[in-house]
Amino acid sequence: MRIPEKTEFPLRARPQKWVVDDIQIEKFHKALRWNTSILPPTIYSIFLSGVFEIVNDLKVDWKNLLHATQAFEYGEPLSVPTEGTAETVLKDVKFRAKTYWMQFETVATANASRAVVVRSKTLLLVKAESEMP
Amino acid sequence: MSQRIFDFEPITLDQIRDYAEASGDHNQIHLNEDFAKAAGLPGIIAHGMLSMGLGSRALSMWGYDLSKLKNYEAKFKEIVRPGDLLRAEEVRQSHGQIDLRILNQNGIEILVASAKFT
Repeated sequence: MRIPEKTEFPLRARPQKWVVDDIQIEKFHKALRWNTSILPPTIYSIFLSGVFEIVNDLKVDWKNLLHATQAFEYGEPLSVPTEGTAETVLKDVKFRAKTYWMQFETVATANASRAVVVRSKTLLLVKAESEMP
Repeated sequence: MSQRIFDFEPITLDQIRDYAEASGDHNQIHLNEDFAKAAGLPGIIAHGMLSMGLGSRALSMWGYDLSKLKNYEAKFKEIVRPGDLLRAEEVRQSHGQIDLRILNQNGIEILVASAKFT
């Protein structure tokens, strides 16, 4: 795993274009085995590809992933269909107890209104491969 | 307050594939048994976000209005495998915040989550 230099933060992923439409929603309903018309609150996971991009760029070995947390803060209600852009940054990497704490933030905005649809925080705890960073 | 629970259908390989298709997360640990084992896992595992999504389904089944959801966060504690039987339990309800957890068939917490409503 490559640890970014302090000067590299925030480390940015490429902006991700996204679309939420009826087809996308239906795919989530099917995957969740959920017969509903409700917008699944975790549909916003489609915005998180920037996290995977950074993780892969840093060559994080998934075998070393110890824990993860995911938080969504919902903004403007989503009308369907909506197109938008999501931007992910790796805000910081801390080293504590032989573990890297990787803090990501993703902000998704609707193209038409420019309003924030969702703000996402992802924390990954990755076991260090050696004793010192 | 009586504790609310919700039992899900068994997690299936098809469901995991459906979630990969929906989310765009095609990491091979979710789709390829040999790859998952080579990565040190017992085999294919479900996406953590699938479990988080099931938590939101439980909230809806318990009568909460997800259109008023302000924050939803989860900590992923254990892996979920095809065949696992998951149960959601409401842990606490206080001042617009609902804490829940999801357990597997062995009573092990696989996810703890918190939802805040306006």
